[in-house]
Amino acid sequence: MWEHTLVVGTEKVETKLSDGNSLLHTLDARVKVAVCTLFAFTCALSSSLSFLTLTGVFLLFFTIVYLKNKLKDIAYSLLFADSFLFFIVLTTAITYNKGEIIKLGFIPIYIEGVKYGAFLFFKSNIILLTVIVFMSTSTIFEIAHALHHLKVPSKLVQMLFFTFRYLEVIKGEYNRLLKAATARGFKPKTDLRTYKTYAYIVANLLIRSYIRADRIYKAMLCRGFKGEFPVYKHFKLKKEDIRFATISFTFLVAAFLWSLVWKF
Amino acid sequence: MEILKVENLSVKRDENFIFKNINFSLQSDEKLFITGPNGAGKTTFIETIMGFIKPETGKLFFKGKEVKTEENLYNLRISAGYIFQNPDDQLFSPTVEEDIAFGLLNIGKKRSEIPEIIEQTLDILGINYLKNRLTYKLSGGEKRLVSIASVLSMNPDCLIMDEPTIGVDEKKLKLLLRFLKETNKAILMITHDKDVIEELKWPVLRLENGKLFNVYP
Repeated sequence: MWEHTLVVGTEKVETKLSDGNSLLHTLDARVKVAVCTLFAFTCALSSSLSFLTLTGVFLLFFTIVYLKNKLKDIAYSLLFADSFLFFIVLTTAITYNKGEIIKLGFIPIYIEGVKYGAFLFFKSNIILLTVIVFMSTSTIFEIAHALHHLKVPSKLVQMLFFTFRYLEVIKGEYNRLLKAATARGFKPKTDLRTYKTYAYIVANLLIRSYIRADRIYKAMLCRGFKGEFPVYKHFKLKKEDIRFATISFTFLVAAFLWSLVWKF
Repeated sequence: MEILKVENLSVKRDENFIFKNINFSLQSDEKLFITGPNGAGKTTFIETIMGFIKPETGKLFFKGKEVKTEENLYNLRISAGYIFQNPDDQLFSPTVEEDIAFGLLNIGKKRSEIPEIIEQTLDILGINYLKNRLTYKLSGGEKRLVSIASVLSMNPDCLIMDEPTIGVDEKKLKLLLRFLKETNKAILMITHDKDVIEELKWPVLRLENGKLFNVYP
């Protein structure tokens, strides 16, 4: 399993963050997926603010040291997700139904609700940062490949892989359909005709995707596919990968122990 | 030697026959064109040969043996290199190299042999520079040549090509034509491209009104 080397094409760029040569980019994707899962689950299950803070500091260290020229992109990604998370804070603040209340006009704001919402907001951001630091620095193909090696069911991995591979093609078809509609005078408005047109486009895309999936399957059969997707290039576990995994794991244990001492 | 042969092949869609009682054979040294109007059933004909469409009547023979079982069909599919009309349907692996390796790994080639086969195949088509490129970022012509390479690497007995010149620019077309002229594989090619027909001067069959007939020579 370890004897092969990971060689990715010269064009590695898929997302802004997956393009780079930092330590995080060159680490074995299997290690990153495993560490990311461990961090994300531990953070999700933890209710200790000190543990989350320490994890956040650890992730920020990686972000600043290894992804310093991507800080803007990372900030945008977090802000985008936070625009949804904001509603969680808002909902908990007005529906917590316990503790002290501040009235904002006729709207009751629960102090405990705000605290709880802020905690969830903080926790979600730590998890998001985990995913950004560990997963976004790999291409989807590397992640799919890593999941395959980590024994994730083959069908799930293939679905992820094909979804990404054909997103670009489906996007192209969507753009063509939209251009065709625009070329015939279609101007989106907030009326029934616009919704109907978009519904036709989406329906068309679904049908085309189904037909394409059928053709891809036929093409695979013509090349000897029997249900297993063979992988040509494999990963090779390097010293840095083991070092990174050990440091991450040790940190996680240390942070957990520290959170038992330093409770807040 | 006869590679492909069909006897009395008929395919029905709804209540109408797309083609009826077609007899056809492809010899190991033969190169043929199939032309015909849109909707005449050319792709359906090829898909029936590849076992993707169940015929109403008829028999299919591959290298003299009737294709009856799933195993026969598997052997036919990996030995009759079918190149699809849209190369995007065929190139699903991340890189060109991995896409070519897909078929080779499926048919049980040793990992140690694969790099050399990939090099040789790309050399034949003159596209070695595409080896490490991402498949979904290739141009239409490049995709077409890579889709041929992905099939050719499996060393099929023949090539069945569905309109391979669509979307190919002049430069890539030259590479494609050079390959088509030089290869000693049997070829069955669907095309509407009169320039290609004139350039290659292979015999032309026409599928129209459910019948397959010779038009040239």
